[in-house]
Amino acid sequence: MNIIYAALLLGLALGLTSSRTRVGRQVKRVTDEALMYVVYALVFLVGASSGRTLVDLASKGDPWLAVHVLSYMLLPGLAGAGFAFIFSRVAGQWTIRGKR
Amino acid sequence: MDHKRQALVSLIVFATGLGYGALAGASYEALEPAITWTLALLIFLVGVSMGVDYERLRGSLAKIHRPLILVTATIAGALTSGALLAHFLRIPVGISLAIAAGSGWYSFTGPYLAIIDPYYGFVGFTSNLLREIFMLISYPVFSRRIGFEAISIGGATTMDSTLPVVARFGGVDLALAAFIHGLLLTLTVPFLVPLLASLQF
Repeated sequence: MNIIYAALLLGLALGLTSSRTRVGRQVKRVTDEALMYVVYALVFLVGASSGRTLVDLASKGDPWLAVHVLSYMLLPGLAGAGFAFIFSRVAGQWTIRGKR
Repeated sequence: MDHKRQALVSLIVFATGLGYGALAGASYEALEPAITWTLALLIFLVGVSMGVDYERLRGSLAKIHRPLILVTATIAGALTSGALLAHFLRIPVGISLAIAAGSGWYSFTGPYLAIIDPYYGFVGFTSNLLREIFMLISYPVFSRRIGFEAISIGGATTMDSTLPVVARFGGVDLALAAFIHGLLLTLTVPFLVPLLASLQF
């Protein structure tokens, strides 16, 4: 986990430094473009790492196991998003809109 | 590339990875170094992206209450869904609440619950691992209308592994909210999961 914090701090330092120069905008554009491809690489790796887990799950042949796993995968996060939707409306007009 | 196309590409890439993992039998342990370094690269790029947008970032820091509300909603969602699933799936309430409160932190929730019962350890690990994947796939779709609220889906992973997807599809403001949300959950989960798992009903 330390490498994650180090990478974040290093990135922030580099970003802050370049924001004060003329190449700031260019750095931002290249970074955002690179980010997209690195996200795809991560999605592939996470998929590859869970492929065998899913095969194991199917080979156990217990339908309840799949129901349990899928229920806990979907419901807590979606319920959290639902609560966030309600709380943000109740609390006021400060919900941040995503980038279009 | 628009959101729909990017989400579709993510899904195809994920399916390709899944197929590769299933056919090649690649385990998480074998891929962990590659995942860690890719993750470090992503976080580095997110850091650069945030740093370049320093002026906007400074404005966002004044709005710290937003991620706090988000954390409250994520925990409320976990407790509510955990209680409901315990009732419908006939799982002990404490265990069900603990699995739901794992918030995507599978490397903590799975091993912790495996000490109590290997079956629930497996459910805790797999469901939280898949929750992270669900966030990676679904956020590009949700980000257009409920970019802020959908951060909850990622749980504790929004401070690292799913932060890049929020930064990419939601923008810098939401990336900051996601990072604080993930950070606070990462500090909470190691206390919350054992507490809930110890409940005897």
